[in-house]
Amino acid sequence: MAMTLVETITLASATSTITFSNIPQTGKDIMVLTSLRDANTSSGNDVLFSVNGVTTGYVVRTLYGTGSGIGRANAGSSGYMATFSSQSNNLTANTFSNIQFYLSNYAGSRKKSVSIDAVTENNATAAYMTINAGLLNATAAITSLSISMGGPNFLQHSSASLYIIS
Amino acid sequence: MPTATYDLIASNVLSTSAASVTFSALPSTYRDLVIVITASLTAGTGQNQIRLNSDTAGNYSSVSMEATGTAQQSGAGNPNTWWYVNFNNGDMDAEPTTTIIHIMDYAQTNKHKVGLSRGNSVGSGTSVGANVHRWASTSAVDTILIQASGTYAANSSFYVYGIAG
Repeated sequence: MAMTLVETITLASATSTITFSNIPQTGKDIMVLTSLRDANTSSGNDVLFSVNGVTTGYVVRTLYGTGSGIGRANAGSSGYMATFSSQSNNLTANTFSNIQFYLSNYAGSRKKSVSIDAVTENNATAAYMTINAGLLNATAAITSLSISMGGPNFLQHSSASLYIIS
Repeated sequence: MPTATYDLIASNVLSTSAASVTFSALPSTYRDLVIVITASLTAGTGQNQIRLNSDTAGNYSSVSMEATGTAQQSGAGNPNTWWYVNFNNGDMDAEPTTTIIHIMDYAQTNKHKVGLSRGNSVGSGTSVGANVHRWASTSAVDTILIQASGTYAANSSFYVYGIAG
């Protein structure tokens, strides 16, 4: 009964998708912590989470700050759970974003509610912090989880760790 | 041998609807507590309300920020008789929600208790928010009462984890 590291994936080269497969079904909750930087050359893009290869039925509500303002966003019935927090390659060198993705009762048979917190880093005014509420309109137990940008690569040294909490 | 951490020290998964959930006789052997609630209400919308050690006095204060489906807002509440954490939904099957509450140094008797919480709901009662809380008491926390301004639906789950320090 504890928080157990299942796997850490650290990119040796640029890669478009980070995937955790065969997630053990022995826990109550899962938590994913990421350190990411991507090949986009403009900031403010989405990092996309999906589970079990499902590409529809995600709903996300977001509250964000940009360094100079605040806002909200609603995404209904989309193909991913998106958090507005990419660490694009035009931001300060060697900086990475951090995201915490938390999903309780992941092995259960009900729809999945998710909490996501994310921050970017930049030695300038523009940097992003978002908090996100997510819902997956599917009931299957979570056995895999993928993180992508919908095209652009995550850069070398990006990493993601998946924990189960039991 | 590392100290075990993030241990599940109490849980309650409702077999039938209930107005509240209480965890008592919590051990004082951890540094922090994390409460994870996946829940909904039987009807209507509302908020999670957290009370510590059965203290009904106005010793609870909070500062919050929140986005609803139509606006973003922030506010402060002081004094209150509860900690409030945004949470709004009314259908466990269609719209379960996740609330995460951290209570730091919960067993220390030389400081007031600080909480950080995140509320997440989408659907009929959209709300995503973050809150910081204070309980103006130096007592060690050994009892936590969780209720909503409504009735929790069956299958709502409440987990309390202890983090070693």
